[in-house]
Amino acid sequence: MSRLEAKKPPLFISEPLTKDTVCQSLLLLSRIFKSSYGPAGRLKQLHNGVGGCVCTTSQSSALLRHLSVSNPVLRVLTASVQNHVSRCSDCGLFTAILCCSLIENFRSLNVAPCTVIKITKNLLSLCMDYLKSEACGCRVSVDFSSVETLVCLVRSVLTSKPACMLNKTEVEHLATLVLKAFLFTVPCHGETNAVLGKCVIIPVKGRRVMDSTVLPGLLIETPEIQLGKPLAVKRTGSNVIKIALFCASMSGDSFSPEEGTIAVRHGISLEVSELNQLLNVGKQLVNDGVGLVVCQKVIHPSLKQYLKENHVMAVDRAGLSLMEPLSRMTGSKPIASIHSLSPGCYGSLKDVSIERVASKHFVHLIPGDTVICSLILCNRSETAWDELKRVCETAEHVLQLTMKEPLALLGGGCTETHLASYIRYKSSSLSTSTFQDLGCSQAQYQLVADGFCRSLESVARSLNRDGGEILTDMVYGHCWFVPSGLPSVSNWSDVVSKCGCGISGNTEDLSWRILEGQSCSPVIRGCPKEPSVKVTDFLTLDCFAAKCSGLQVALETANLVLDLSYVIEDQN
Amino acid sequence: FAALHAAVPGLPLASSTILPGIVLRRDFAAYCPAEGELRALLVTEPLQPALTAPGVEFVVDSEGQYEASLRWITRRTEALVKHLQSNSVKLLLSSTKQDEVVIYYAQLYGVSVVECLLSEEMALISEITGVSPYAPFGDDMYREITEIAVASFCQPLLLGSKRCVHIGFTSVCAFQPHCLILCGPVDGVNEQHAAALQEAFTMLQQLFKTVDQRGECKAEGESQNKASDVCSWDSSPTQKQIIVENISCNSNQVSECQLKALSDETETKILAPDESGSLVDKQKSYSTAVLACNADTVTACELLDVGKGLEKTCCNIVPFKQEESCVGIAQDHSSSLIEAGSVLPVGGYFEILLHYYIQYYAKQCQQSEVAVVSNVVADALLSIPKALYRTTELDSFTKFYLKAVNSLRKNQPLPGNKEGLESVYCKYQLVVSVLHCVTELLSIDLIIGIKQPVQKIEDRDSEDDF
Repeated sequence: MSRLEAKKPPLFISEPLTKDTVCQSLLLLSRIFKSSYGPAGRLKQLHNGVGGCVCTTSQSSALLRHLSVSNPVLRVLTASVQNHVSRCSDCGLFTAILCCSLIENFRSLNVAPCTVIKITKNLLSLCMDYLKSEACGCRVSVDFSSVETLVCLVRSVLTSKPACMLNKTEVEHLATLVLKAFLFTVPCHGETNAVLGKCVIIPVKGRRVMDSTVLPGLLIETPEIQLGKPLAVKRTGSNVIKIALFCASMSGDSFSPEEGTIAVRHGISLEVSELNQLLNVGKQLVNDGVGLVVCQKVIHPSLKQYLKENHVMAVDRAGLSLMEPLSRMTGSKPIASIHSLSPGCYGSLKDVSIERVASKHFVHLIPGDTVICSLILCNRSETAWDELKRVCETAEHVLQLTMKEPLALLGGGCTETHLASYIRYKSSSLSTSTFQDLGCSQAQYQLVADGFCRSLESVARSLNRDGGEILTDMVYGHCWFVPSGLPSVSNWSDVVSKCGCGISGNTEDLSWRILEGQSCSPVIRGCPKEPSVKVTDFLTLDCFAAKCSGLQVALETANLVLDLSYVIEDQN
Repeated sequence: FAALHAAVPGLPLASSTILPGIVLRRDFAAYCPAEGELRALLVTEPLQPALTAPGVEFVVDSEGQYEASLRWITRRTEALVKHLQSNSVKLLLSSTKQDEVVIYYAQLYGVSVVECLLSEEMALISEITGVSPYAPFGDDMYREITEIAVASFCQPLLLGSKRCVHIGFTSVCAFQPHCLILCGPVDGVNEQHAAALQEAFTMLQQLFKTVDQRGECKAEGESQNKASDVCSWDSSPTQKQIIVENISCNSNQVSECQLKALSDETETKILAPDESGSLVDKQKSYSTAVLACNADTVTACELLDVGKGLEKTCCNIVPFKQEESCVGIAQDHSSSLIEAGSVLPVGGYFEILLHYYIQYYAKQCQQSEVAVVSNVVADALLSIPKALYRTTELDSFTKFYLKAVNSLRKNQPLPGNKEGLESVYCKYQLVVSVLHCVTELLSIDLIIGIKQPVQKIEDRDSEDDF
């Protein structure tokens, strides 16, 4: 008999944000995010005390996947960030830091949450309008006819995650590879409904990063192939290789009824019957002039032998994940039946070769038209490889997003400080009717706007790690880092050389001031300008779509959390 | 509604949109791009014949027989898909999972396949297109396929990171399906928005119900049923149609500007950034909403005036039992006549109006008991505006109350609140339900705790049958 347990009453917490435990966990979470941010971010080592794998990372997706947050209020926050990352890949930490910081700043204000929410919505629309307008001073348009800006975008993603353990040349090498892989996946012929191809990442752990490379087409691991032998693959008249792709098992034990029973008379073997059928298929393949047979599952050794004798190459155990790119690349239709073959399902390949990477052997399928490519990714240690893989995937996604919206935002904290100075300027020059519409006083609006700007600036501040000062200028509103260990100087222009994103240098007097967390910053006279002299090399750039979405998600989530007045938890 | 909206977590709210057609939240099993209109078929069973079935034994006499059977199955599947192709069917919508062989042949013969549709989705598609599912294993496999639906387009759609199927059907009825794409930072928020929108649509449907003038005063319980019976007759088919179109969020087709204004209004309230119409459109409809709101305030006042006269005649027959009489009064009051589409501005005006007239009625009432109860109900109604105005300044409720009552005395239109409108019919239903509930609670004199859960009445009936 099962034991009945009395139901516990639900746990009821009112005003969760005023509770100490909630605040402390929020602060802790915020500290974790802030300290992980940027190229100088500190790494987090995640491991289970019992044993198992260790994960060293500074990526929001990896951190949040492993962190178990018990507090329902914070779970809203982490779920939001995770959802954002699953959509945009990039700017997860930005979203998380901004959201934490907004909650911290607004909580301490003596303004009713509903008023705060109204004002922040207004501020957000100001920001979005500005970012989407031509006049925006912190965005650059991406020119797809040259690789420079694209390389900058990829490089920024690669360098922002120090757990990949890359040095400068490795970063350059990988940035080129990722970009090359992306360009492979773009179809050559301009169609109306063009679909991007796919880049398959092949893991090679324990090798130098510089050994990484990109190959057009696909690689299938084949342990049994000997390197020495020359490949003799049958070709058709037009010098292409005919390929047959099977998704049905060719092992000869395929048939198993889901329901009902099969009674077999004595002396009859279904296996023999299946094998006969397989050999029939083999005969037809040979007659149709097929040069290569790829099977998702296992091929029966007899059939393999038969095909080999007839100079047909057979590759099995390709796996489900390779089927779609294989079918796309070769134009063949995966064959699901071994009982009838139709000539329409064959595809074609330009060439086949054997590749050896590290200790593994691969069959390299080279297509005529490349939209599918393979990135052989090497890194020394397992955990660094994992991090690198995620970073490369992010970079690829960033490029895809940028292709949809060919814009990029200045990185290195410059977008944040620029946006903050724009909002400070804009919020000081609003008309009284705006305040009336929002149902708040001008003082309340200023307070909230200031909290918003400080939150944005705190994202920029978390880029700093070595304890030096962070400055912002009064002309462009960019972010400048001062190296630490310098004696206090009166003239900032002596110590700064380049702003965070690298777009403007120390050429004129920009009247710098220290970016501080608490005090209200003075309002600049005019709208922050766009630098006139632009450097295009070695810029730090962020993905426009991901950052805009992150900004909106952070604000919406912060509003949601601030609006929580009760948490009712079922304890059963 | 569940089939007509899709949630995408992780995108900002502002990315929410409305798409024409329906979105099925799964990927194609086989996708063959097709231009223009395409013919679609609904199936509910596997297209591949099975070798055996549950409880059926398949006896293998020889290897040849076994091979032949398997070959026959494959051939038959191929023939079937070929037959579909010859009937120029380009899309197969299946409620079951189809065998890999079916998918393979479908791909070969240029037929797109979507599998594992929910029964609700199947029902919805059947309703839109007026087509019933196709049964492939009739007497004659090669008969003409008549169960063909026509889709205007069918394409993959990327929602967040999930691939979905986006289909537009040529509808045979007035209902033009549209799909609402809701975006929000987390799933919970999306669920709440979806629920709020669904409630808004229910409200809009209720809005066009009427409460008819009653010829005679009947027993309390029945009268409510009767009123709602009348409603369902009264709402004319055209109105229903408009409402249905509203559900699909197709504001372009809604001609009645008041309704449109309302739908926009409700959307604004619930989900501020989630709007379909262009900005100009929205502003225009907003102004009409305000106009309508002023006009309706006056009519509502008049309506209640009419009701008052009627209820005087009724009050003689009001039953004697205290609690029940409350219900009677409320019903007499508001069930007098509520026209289809009556609305009042939000902010406690309905409660104030009802409070005012119940008090007025109580004063004129000969029976002191009824008068007392009426006053209790009237005061209870005020608790709603009191709660509404509690958050702002302290005396704001008194101000609001005095202002409203003054203008009522002078027979002036109430000072309209420009924030939104609420349906009088819904409010009426609400008050009636609350009074019913209160009556029931007051009638209870003993609560008995029992160990076992209370059995449903149907269960007991079936036991009695033995």
